[in-house]
Amino acid sequence: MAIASFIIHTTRQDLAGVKASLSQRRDATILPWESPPCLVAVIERPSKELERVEREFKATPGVLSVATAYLNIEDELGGEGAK
Amino acid sequence: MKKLRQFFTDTLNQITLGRKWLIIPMALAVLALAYFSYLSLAFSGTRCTWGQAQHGEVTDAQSDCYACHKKVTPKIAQDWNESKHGMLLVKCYVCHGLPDGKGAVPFSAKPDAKVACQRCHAPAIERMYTKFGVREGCNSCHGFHTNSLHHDAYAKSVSKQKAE
Amino acid sequence: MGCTRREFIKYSAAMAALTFLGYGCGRKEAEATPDTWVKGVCRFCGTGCGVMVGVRNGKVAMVKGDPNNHNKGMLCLKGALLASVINSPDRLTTPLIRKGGTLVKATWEEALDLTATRFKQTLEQFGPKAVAYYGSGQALTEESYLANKIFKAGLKSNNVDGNPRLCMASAVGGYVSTFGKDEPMGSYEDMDSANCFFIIGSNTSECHPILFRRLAARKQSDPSVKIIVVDPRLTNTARIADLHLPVVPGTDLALMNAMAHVIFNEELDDSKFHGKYVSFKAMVDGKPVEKSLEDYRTFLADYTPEKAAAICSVPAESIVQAAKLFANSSATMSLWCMGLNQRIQGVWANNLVHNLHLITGKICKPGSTSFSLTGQPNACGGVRDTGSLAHLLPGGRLIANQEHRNQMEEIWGLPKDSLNPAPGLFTTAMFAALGDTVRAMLVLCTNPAQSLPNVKKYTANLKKSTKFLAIIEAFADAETLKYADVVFPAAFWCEREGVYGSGERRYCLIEKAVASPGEARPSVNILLDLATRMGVDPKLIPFKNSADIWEEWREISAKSAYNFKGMTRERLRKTSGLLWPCPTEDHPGTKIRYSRGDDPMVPADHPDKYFFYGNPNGRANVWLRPHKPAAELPDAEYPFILTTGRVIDQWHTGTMTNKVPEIRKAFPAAFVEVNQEDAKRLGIANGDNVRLDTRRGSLVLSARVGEVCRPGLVFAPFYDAQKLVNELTVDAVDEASKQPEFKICAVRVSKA
Repeated sequence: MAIASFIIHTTRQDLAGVKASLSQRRDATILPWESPPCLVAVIERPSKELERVEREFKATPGVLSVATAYLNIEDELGGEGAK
Repeated sequence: MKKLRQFFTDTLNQITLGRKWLIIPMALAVLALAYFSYLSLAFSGTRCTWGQAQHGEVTDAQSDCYACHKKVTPKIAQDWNESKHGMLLVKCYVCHGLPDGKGAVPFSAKPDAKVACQRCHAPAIERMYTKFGVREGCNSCHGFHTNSLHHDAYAKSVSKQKAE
Repeated sequence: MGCTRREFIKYSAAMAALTFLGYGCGRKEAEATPDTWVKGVCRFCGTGCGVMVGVRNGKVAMVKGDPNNHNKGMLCLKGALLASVINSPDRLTTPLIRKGGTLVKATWEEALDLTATRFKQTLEQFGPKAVAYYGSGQALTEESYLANKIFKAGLKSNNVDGNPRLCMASAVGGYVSTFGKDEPMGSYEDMDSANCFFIIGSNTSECHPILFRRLAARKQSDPSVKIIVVDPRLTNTARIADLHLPVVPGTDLALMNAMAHVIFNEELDDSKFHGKYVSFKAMVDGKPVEKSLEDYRTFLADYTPEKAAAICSVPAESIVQAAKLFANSSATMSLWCMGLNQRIQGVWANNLVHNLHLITGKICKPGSTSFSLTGQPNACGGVRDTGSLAHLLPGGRLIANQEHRNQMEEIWGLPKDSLNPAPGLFTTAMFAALGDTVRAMLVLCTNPAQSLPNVKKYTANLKKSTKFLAIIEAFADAETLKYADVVFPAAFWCEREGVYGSGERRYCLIEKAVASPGEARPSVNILLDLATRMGVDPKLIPFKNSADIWEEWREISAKSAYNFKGMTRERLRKTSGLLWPCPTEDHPGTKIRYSRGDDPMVPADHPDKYFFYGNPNGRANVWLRPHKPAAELPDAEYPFILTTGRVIDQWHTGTMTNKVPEIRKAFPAAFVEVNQEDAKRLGIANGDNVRLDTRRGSLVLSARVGEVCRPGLVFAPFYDAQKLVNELTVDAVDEASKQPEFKICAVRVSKA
């Protein structure tokens, strides 16, 4: 599983609505942020699915843009490269 | 997951209330950041930051913000293009800065009106201030990207459509 | 507060995101509130926007528009980002001397002594013709005036020229041959009352953005305002045009003669005006000959719209429409820039714009004016007005004219007939002679190794060991440094005080805001030191600083039509610029020249409303100028036309704009614009590498395919020092103005 965080930009008016719709996701932890109005989502999913997740975020009504802030796929690599 | 949520709530509470508890999340933050920067440095090829994930390396002359934002944020880009700012070529980076944050203008999706607008509109800001007192920003009334020139070519622009 | 490794990674993920949002140790928006604001002028183009320089802790923190200047607080993107230029780490901080092929640090004493010695030796050995000064439309007025005086009066060398020769010379030729005096008669304020704009050979929106803003605002306030844009490229300026004429480059003389033809044919001329205020003239066997209105109409009979349409490759109806819009509006303003000036027919093209205004009487009235835009911030005030060119003396005087020389000898306190009567070498001739008949050259505030046309030919001379080149420069990465023997670090922009004169005859004081870095010094002081060491008569240079020089120049101006005696230093400090003529300290400055009641040079009791006092008969000249083609036309081997120019972000050779990270990223490298039909035929896609070959050189640039260039035309900007587009351009010059034809040369285009 990969762990990634996204910054999801929205407007001040839509902030609550976006938070509500994103909070329904079980794979995400959502933190709303006031200024600039946006949300931070931490996602735990296989890395192959992350692009789809990002598209889903983008498709959420009220979302202006989605930016990837962090990505860790160490666990998916297993013990490769280790002793 | 619950723990993480708790962490956020704690952090927020402690920031807002300014308790001495602040030290714990701060320490954690420093640790986390150290780890994060270690990862960034160690695996620079695979790191994924705001600047790169969203913007990619600026490698050729095609990488004017507008050229790409026409595709990724078509509405915003088209609004700008048809607005006064677009007509007069007040380009993205004048107010928004550079995505890599290495420019003189701080990178921000929502620039600080106090600084960004001031460069050109200081007299107007002063007039507005005298008339109406302090307002939150200029954008609530004067759309940065939607204040159009009234001309046939801009009949499609958003502000004009709204007016009609 | 224990947590597993996985949780820790999640915290990291969250923190990484929060960091970008400004939490924790994330960067906060810089609250750069300056301590003081100092008034100045923008360092870039000839628009001359007023700026307020915000200083914090002795550093330039921010630049904003001056609300009291003509730009009313507005700045274009370059002006708004000026702080990055002056704060650049790439500044020269010590003098440099070339030793064993490389430039090494030196003391001021060493650099000044070496330069003065080399100049003195050259003067003794080869005479005054062997020394030269190459100045700039970016130097302060005081610097240009001083250098001009040192060389022409002190060293008796008329080899004083400058980059305005590459930029403004044809406009000077146009104004002088038509009106007898240089500089526009109108001001930017005319834009607020014009009902028709005739923009020809100017991409105003990218090269003079704040003026474009003003005319766009005019168009917005009154949709009946018409804008005609004549440009072979569909530029951003053309976006607001009602009529865009994409003529073949170099055919605009035919276009403007055809417009005059239509104006007479449709009886849209103002016979009252041209009957009273205009003389018709033509050159016959190299001499000006008086002609009649009938002669002019006979001459124009050859330029039917149909014939011009075939030459220019635009519809005849569009030419008729342009002529009608021009003549039918209540006030028409023409604007042009390098598209007309950088041509071997530059002066003629300028004359033909003036012709259109003179035959329709649309001149010297609010909103009606024939206005040449300027490329550099102080080409007008600093170089044209002070006469810092090879054929000029201050105040519009000519070296070839004995009476003018005698006037200057008296003013400068020189013995009669002591000034050198032979005009000096103009720019390209000066660099062609470098290392041969010209042995020592001083370059101030410009970058000729990038900006000269057909530049490889001249850099070959710059490499010669028989030449000595000293340059006064602020930036360590200017191309010309590669060829310099001595480099003096100059104080930049608002690190010293001085006057800039913009395109509308507005003189404005740049006040000193910050200290210069390292050992950099104001150019005025460098010039004074050099002159003293070269043995120039101390009585000629009794100056300590730029304010002293301004006092002398101000006094002298009263003895010419460029009278600005009323602009004392104190007054300039208080105002955001004044427009000359301004003869007395209570005079508000002049918005319209040659008009009784507006121009103080026209006597209040003059019998006529308009008086073109520059010409002996008091009339302006309408010149009969036939269409002539460019120096190098496309042929089977080189089938395309290459034109060069600028983009809004970058300015000239990029030594300043490339210091701004935002700009460097937006326009890192030169490119070539290709028409989409041509591209399809040649198999070129957007972003492909394209090879340009001319008779002088080759260059590979990345392609921008689109509809900007008309078919058969390619465009490349000249700011990129890594891709010197000027290695391709021709150095053929206008016969009268000696300005090179940067705008047109034949090129072969192929996929690289």
